Amino acid sequence: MRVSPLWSGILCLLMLQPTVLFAEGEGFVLRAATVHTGLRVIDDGAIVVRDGKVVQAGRWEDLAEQFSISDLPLIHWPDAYVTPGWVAASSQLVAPHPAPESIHADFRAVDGYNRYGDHRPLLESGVTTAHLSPGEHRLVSGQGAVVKLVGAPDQRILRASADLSLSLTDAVDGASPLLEIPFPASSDVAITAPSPQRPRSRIGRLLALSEALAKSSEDPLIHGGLGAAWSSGMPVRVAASKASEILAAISFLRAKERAGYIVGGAEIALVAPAVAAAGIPLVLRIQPVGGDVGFTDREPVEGLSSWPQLGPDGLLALAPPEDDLRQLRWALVEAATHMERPDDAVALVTHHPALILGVADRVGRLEAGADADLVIWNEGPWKVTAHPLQVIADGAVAWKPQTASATVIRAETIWLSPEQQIDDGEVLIEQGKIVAVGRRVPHPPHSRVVDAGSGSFLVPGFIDSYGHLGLRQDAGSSGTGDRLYRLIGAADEPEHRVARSGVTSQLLTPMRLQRGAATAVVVKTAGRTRSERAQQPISALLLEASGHPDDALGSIARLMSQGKKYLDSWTKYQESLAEWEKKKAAGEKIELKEEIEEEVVEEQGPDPLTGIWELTISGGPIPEPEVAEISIQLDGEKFEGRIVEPAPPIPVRVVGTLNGTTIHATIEVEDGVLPAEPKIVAELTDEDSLTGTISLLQFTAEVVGTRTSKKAKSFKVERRKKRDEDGRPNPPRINLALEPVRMVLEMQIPVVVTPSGLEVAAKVIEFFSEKKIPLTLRLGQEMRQYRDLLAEKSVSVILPPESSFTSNRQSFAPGNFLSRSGINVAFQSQASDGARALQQQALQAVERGMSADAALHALSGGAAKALGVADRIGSIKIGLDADLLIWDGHPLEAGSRLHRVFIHGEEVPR
Amino acid sequence: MMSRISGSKEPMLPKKLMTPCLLVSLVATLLLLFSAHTAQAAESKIALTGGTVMTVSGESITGGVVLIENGIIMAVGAADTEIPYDAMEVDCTGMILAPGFVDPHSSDGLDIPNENLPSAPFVDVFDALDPSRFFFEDSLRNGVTSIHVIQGNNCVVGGVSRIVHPIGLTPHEMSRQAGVALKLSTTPRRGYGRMRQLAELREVFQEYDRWRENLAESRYEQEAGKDDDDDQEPLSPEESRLKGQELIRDEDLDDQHRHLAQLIDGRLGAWIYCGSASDVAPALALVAEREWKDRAVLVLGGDSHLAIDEIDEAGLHVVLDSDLIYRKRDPLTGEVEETFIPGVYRRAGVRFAIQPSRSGAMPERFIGYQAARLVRSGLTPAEALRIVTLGAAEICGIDDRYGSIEVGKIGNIVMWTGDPLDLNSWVQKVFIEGILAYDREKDARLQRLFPEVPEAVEAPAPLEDEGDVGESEEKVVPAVEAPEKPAGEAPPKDGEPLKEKSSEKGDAPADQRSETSGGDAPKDRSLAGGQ
Repeated sequence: MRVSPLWSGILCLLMLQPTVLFAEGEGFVLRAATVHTGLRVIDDGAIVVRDGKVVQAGRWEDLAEQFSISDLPLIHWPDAYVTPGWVAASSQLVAPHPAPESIHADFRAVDGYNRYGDHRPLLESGVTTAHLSPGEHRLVSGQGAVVKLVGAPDQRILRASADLSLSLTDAVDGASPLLEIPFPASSDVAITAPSPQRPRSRIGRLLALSEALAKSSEDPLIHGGLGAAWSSGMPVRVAASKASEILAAISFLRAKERAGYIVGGAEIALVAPAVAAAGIPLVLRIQPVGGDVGFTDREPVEGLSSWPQLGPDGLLALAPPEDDLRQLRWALVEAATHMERPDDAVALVTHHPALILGVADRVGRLEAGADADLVIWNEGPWKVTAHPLQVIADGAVAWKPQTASATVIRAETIWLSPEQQIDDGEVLIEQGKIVAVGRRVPHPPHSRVVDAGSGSFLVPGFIDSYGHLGLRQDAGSSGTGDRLYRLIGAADEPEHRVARSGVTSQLLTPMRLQRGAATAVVVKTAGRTRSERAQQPISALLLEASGHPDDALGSIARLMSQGKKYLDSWTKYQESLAEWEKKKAAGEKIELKEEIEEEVVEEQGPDPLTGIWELTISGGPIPEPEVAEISIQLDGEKFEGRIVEPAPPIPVRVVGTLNGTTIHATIEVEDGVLPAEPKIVAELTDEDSLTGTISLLQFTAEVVGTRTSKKAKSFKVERRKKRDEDGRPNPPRINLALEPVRMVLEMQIPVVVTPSGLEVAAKVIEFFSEKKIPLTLRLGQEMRQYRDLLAEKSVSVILPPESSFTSNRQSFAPGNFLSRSGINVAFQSQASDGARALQQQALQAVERGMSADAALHALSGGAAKALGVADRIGSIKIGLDADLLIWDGHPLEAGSRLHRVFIHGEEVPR
Repeated sequence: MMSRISGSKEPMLPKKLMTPCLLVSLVATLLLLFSAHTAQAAESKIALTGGTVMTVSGESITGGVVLIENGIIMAVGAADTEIPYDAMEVDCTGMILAPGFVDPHSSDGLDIPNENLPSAPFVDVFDALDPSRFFFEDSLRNGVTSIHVIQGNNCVVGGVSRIVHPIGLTPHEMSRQAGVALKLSTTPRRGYGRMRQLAELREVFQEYDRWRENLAESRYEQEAGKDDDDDQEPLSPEESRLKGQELIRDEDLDDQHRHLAQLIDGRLGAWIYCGSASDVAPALALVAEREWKDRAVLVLGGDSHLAIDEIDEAGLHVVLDSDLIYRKRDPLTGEVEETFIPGVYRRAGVRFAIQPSRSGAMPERFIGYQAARLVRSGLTPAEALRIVTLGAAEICGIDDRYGSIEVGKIGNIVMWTGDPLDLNSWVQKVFIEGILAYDREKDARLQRLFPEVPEAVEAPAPLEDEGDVGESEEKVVPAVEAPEKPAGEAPPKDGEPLKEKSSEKGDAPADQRSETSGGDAPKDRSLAGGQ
């Protein structure tokens, strides 16, 4: 088979996850169904990334025209929703500092951040940048920071001193007294009692704060350098949750004329206008799920029943419930319900928090110049079932799911069978198999969601019931021992073309059946390995029946009877093995028969036959004369001999009689290898020479022999022992040529028979239905006669390529003709990459009156049934291979186009 | 001193035993005994001959000679090296002489490793040094002869460290160099977060700076007030602070700030503990800010090796944790990845020392085992030996005296039965400053552990029996007038018998010391008094 390595390499790369392409690269172009840059939403958008930075973002159409991006690998997520890496405006990455000081400005949250730490599990939340807080448990708890969760350790810190952290919440009251031990503590310098700290109550908070600020302007060292921190002009982060606290925060910031923002805001709904009027940004902490609704002095605030209206310019960002980053997406889900468009909520966790934290130049947006931190979501992140498929930080993949990925395909119509379709349904695919089908299926975490959109039509992949995809013209079969399976490799360009036409499987058959019999295998049109493409080496036994009705079945019957013998030898073996195992388990003594071992020690004797004969066989079906040496030992009238040269792979014995000068001999070969025993009839013409004939079945060849030695060779012949030393029976020899027949007889695979000639088809149907062997016929025009017989014996028929026949000036369409009678039919291409036209054959059948659904069934489920693989492919059922096609309408209606092809759950790239 | 001893001893001996032979041997014995005790090698000369000398600094010498005079190595050479006639010769044939291991970082010699106060730069390990600790005895047994005793890691600013010898009855006797380094830690001490730890660390130095400025200002005012006439314009506070800096005298430093001042002025090293990679950056920032590059050492633990690039760039030396393997579990896949930490530093070219374990697995308490692990992981035996001797001494800043067998260095030499890094060889004898400090044959604890060892059974009884032995030996020793002479002179060439005896005796006091049981011989007390 011709496989261009370049093509298969490219194909393999395309079929892998996109990650491998740019893990080390210097840039890439990411194209996705939707790109939310933090500022705008772009449908079918693309982002150009170079050296870890976003260079450009825009519509794919616009960008694709640019020559400058052609050097970059393209990563296409046709169903994904891309957002910037999220910015958590509040987090618990750093625990609140444990020191007792109520006011201390030198606790730096950045000190508590483990920048060498492996925070990858947090990336699953979509967050790549987070604010670190020294805590909200003190009036002044220190300095916050903004960091990235991934990246080189020295690159992770975006702002070491991002803000001064103040808190006006209840937590700050009643700080424990401060004990300072003097040095040296002595009788002169006593250890004084701990000094109490402010604030003691809500009323003293602002006072204590102002007092501390006044003091620290005089002495820069007190309160942990509060003076310096304050005068540095860094923004102030004020934690306030109740309405009164929020108002106090506003008045404080106004009075001090400081830039700052408010964090918390459980009661924001009550004072939103005041916040909006003051123009102070708000980081809103969403209430956690579960537990009782907190009671305040006014009235319970139920989650976000009244969403803060901060006006068009108001900056609002979301903080996760309890600062748990994993819950930030949940906060987004809640927020999205209050938004005009759910897309708008994305800004609350990307661009807005980045602006508030002062890092908007680097993160929170996917526009030119920003860091290439982005999250690839399987669907809009505000949807409950959304999950990230990949997180990219600084242009490199930072996180991707560990679990095997699942795919959910959502389509307007899912075509299950001619009788059953699901409107607006979903199919869940895991590990290449269909796992669930229904209106709504489970979405496992990180599953890809392929939303085929409105008008989409999901059907099983088409099956070509007879074709030669990937075979060369001369790929004939020499018999049932051949294995086409061995010719299958990675899917190549022709396979890819066929796959893109919707044909996902084909019964791969030899071009010609030289001996009237061959094996065939069902092959997928996509796959990286042989085992991915074909599940079993043999899927069907192909037979040809031709000639006179009385003879046509002769060779088939012979093959079947040999196969039966072969099957019996195995059955016997299995029975005796079972018996042996039973005996052995029972501890019975197994009696050993004498080993059959035979030693032939020939004696030397001057007689007319004993010795080594060189035989030349020629004529008949043998194209060139062949020479063999036989050693013969005469014993009275009988003789026995063995082939010396060429050494046979299996024991071959020649036995016969010498009557005067006439020799009658048969060549004994182990059962089943040859269809019959060759017979030799020869005459001793001279001393040391003979002439005669050798015949096998109807063939006859001439034999001429000369004696080259009068000494017979002595052989020690060891027959295959029937049993091992412990009495365990040995299995029979495997006969490749008869294996397919055995599988047929065991009803594992069907026979596909091509009958030709009058009445042959009837004989074939009779022969196989008697044996109850599943039968599929390739019929031409003659099918007209057998309609009832076919229906009665429920024989499947592979339709001829011709869409109609004319006989007796009447045309009839085979597809319509048979399918209306309830006969299972299938289409065949009889071609290599011409299999692409299979759908057109079905269309023609529809044109000739076949119903579109029946034709679709013939392309999928019917073909699978005819080929005996309906348990694996051919329909959208739980447990079957996920070979699916997304059309924008019924595949057999005019104007429908095939959009996407999935084979084994993996999309076939365009 | 020596004459006093011999004088005090003489009358105690019965006249009839005062044969010249006995006298000589006795005096020599006592001398050695005494010198071993005082650790102040008074004019002793000892020649270690016949062994293989692993000098560490240079090539090994087979059958070499090491001559130690007054505790200092005076000569190292091949067998033909001239040995002074009065040197006591110790036959080391079949043995290996190596410099004693240097333990670069230990708080085991202290009664408690850490202060309760988070920031206590005013303390000195001297005050907590406990000579009776088993650790010191065990150090000798394991071939460690110099220990950098330093406060533990559980602090913000710790006390001052010093170099001690693992022999002596008092901290004074043990101490060899005071004021080596101040201990700092960027890793949170117990109950602290990293934020609090670093905030307090910064606060200590801010407070010191302010105190120093005030001191400078007041010093300047003092000095200016002394000699000036009122013509001069009073300087601005900034200028007077600047000018006053030079006027600060040692006596102006108060107890609380003295060590900090020494640290900042360059008289003390800074040993900074970093228990994880995140702690390295603040430590390096501190080193850069205060310009301690030449005397800062990082004491590393945990995953600090992740910050190898920064450490390499800063050019600091490091002391590694005893746990030489770091195990990291991938949070996503659960796979465990092992890193051999010394390998990381070796590849980066960062000079490092290793510590024995302070607790936990027994073999890791043995520094030679730790060095052997280095060999197993790819270092050459010579490199590994250097790391635990000269390398550690360099990092402690004491390589001018310790860490190798070189002329001019202190005679801390360990006699091994084989390669020091071979776990089948053991320490036979330890010489500290040229004095026999440990002898395995006299090791009472080992004798108790392995009573069946034949040597232990045959070990000579205490000193009283010595007379009988000497008597029966009837050796012809020439010098009758030996008592007046220094003992070392007594046997000029035939050192054989004396050597054995003297080496045995040299250790006898050590045994008594280590057992510290009651019933000390009176001479012991007199010796102690002799200090």
